[in-house]
Amino acid sequence: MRRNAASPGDPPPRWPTLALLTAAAASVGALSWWIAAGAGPALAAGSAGAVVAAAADTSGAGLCADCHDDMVASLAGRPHSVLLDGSSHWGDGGEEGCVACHAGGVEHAESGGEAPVYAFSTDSTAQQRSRTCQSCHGAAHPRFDRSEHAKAGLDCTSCHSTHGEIETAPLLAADLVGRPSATCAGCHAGSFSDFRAVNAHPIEQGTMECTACHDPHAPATRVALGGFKQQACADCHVDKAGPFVFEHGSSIVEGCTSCHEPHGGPNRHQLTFQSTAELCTSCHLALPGFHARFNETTQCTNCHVTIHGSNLHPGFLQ
Amino acid sequence: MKIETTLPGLLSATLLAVPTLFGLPQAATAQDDGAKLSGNVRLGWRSTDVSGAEGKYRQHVDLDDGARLFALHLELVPGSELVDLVQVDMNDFGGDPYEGFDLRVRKFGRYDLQVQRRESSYFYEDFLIDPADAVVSLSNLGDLHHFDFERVQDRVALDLFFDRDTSLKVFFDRFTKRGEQTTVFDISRDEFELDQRIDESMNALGAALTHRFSNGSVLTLSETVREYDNLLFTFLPGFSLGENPTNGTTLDFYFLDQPYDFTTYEHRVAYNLRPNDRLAIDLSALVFDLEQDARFDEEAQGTTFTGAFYSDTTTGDASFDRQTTLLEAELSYLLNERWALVGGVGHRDLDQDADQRFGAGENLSGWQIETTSLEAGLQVAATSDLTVTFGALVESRDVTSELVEDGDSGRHEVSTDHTGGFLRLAWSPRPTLSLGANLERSSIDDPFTLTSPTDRTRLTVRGRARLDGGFFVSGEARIQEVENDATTWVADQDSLQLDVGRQTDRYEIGLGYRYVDTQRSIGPELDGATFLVPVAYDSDTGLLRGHATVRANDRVRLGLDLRSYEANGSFELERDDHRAFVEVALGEAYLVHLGLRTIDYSESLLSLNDYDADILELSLGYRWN
Repeated sequence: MRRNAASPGDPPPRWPTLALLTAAAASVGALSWWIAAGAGPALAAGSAGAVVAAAADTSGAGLCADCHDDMVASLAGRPHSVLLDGSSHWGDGGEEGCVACHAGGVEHAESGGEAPVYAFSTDSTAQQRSRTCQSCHGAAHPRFDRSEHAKAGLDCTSCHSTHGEIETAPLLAADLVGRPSATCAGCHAGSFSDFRAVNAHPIEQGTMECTACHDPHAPATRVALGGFKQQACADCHVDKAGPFVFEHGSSIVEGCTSCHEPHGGPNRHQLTFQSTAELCTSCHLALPGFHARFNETTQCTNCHVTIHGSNLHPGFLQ
Repeated sequence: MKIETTLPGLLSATLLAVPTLFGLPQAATAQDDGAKLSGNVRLGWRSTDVSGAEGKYRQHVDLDDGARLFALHLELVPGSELVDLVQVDMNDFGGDPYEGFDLRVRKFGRYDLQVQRRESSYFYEDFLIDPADAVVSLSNLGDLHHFDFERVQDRVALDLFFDRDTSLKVFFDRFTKRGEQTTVFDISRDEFELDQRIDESMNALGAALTHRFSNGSVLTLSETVREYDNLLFTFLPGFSLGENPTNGTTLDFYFLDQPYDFTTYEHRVAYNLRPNDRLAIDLSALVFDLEQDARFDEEAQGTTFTGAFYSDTTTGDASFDRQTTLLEAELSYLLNERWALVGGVGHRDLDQDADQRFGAGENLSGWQIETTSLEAGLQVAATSDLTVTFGALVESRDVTSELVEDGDSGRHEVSTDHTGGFLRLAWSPRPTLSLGANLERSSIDDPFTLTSPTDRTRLTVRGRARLDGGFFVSGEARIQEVENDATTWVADQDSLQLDVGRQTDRYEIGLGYRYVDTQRSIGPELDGATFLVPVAYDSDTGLLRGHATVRANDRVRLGLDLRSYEANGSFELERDDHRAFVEVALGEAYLVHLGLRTIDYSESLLSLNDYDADILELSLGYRWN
């Protein structure tokens, strides 16, 4: 059912803030009970030594700690500590302890370290290696197998560190101010340099991350990065996404990158040309006769002001 | 300037930072009970000195004088049964163009609460031509559009993990964009600069439920509702003779009120089957339903270039429907540990209809874009060092657009076929060395636009190595060739990235270079027609970056970051952006940071855009563990 168009005098749309807050407050009590009821011995807060000791009691990881105490201790305060602390909901069916990820651990220990333990070796395909993580996290990233990263032979551990210090962006092995995009820059240094061009998206300023446009766990389909007005762009540039009565064909069909460099470049508005006359006439060869007086210094968008689409004029004049 | 953002920003920073600083003894006490607090904060003052084009400086940098909370990072491990970890991050609070706030509270395996705010200011003002050289008849008065607005993005998200198999995510997003811009209205071939109010807001509420069944399959259901309002209003501030003083065109009065809003319902269902350890099948369907309404009120009064008086009032409205459907099916089959077969088929459909009445006229428009794709590939772990992936893609797209404009109707249909293939090699003989190559080749029949590619080839070679003694080297080279057989259009781009450096306990030093060579051109004639302007864009850009940080002793650290950016070709510019800092530790917890940044920007064609800036920052840091 359609709503009436808003007018300048209308009050802003009212969201059920009070109802949400009330519901949230009522839920707090129940949640507290539920969280506490399911909580394990809170290894996250414990010292590294306590983690090793407790892990020995609850998950058998103490056996691993005889030789790899640093690795076991490094899980303290990190999400995977739930594999060691016997949290009830993680213990109802799945593997616990180190062997949850490192299959063959028991044989490895019994053989005194001779038998191999699974350690994300490149002896297997990216899909095979990522299965280990997907056994728990598969629902979160079911399309990873077809992603560009999987095609490049990368698995989850290429970007995510399951052992180590707590980072601002947890699990990410970022070494540049703890931001997720720094992990991307490790391989995509070229793209990261483009963000240091004169006109660029503000990645470096910290207001957005690479993941604002790219899903590293999914294929780079047209829907995400091309066509249909580019959904990724429309999340922030809503007013450019339409729908419009008069759509700019290249924009709705081919997407924003028909005219814009998404990472950055020397040109204003991150355009693929500095001169809009060059940019526009690249496609619009046939123009009404009076355009013959124009040249490459002409600013097409000074008349065609609604170039992303218009609701009033087919030539985007208003 | 920026009173609205400065005061709340400072207030928020103070509220969070001061109690934290002075609360240290309490935190230390709590630590004895098992709680652990760590983090750092840096507060200080910035002074700026800008000469030249201040508008351009605002467009590029926009850092201003005043007190700032440069950074705050807190991590609290409370040792509680209810909370495992609390993290707070704030950056650049107090009036900077990019402010950020993050709060994350987690109980691992139980819940994950995330609160986030991002504020960003955008300013745009560009002299493209010296006003003395501007000619109205050429419409080359420069870019008459100016922008000055602020985006704010808020997000609250809560993940609840009920058990190993069931989780729920709920989130609320709010987006606002407010400010003003200048736009242009063309009457009788004269141009009038108008003011335009920017006032957009969007609220989104969503929930996603995920459940894993006993057979290992996973079902995900998600619903999101978005409401967007745009109170778009354009008006002439006073009276205007237009940009062309030699004719009689005037605009005495003008406004255009065209507010619009839409509601989007997003429905998604995904089912991930894992029949056995080897096979994974993922099915998903996503439907966007968008309904939009708009209203128009326009009033104009003035004289045409013949001197005739005109007065016009027009009203109207419009309604829109857009439905986007995405259907995806993907398969991954592990033939054995070394071979994996991956494939996917997808169908995407966009249907859009608009019905508009403005004055006496009525316009109808419709779009349908249907895309069907099939991709299949094979990955082989050829040896323990080498992985090879290759595959092929076939995609067909049918576009139909219809327009009924004041009784005249037109229909346009284009079908585009796209075939392509890829080959990827990843070689990593040891953990400290990796090399990769990626070759992609596409062929497109009947592209939609004149300059869409009919052939595209992209080759990327990438490598990284970490050597003994802390040395490292990494590089990437890319060659991209894009052509259109029908129009002689070429859009080639070659790029190179090279970084070398060394990292030791005492210092870190690095040198990097980025080079991008872009050529975009079309032959002067096509099918007997001559292009209005020669399309021959050429751009060579280079970014040279040097970086060094040295720990002089236990208390002093020095840093240097040099960046020289240069663009040659159709649009030439240079920008040097250098930074230096010195940090002195005072005691175990305090730090004094002095930073200097100098920027020198110049364009070859027009000195009106040039500017120099010196930015000095003095701040006091505090750290606790």
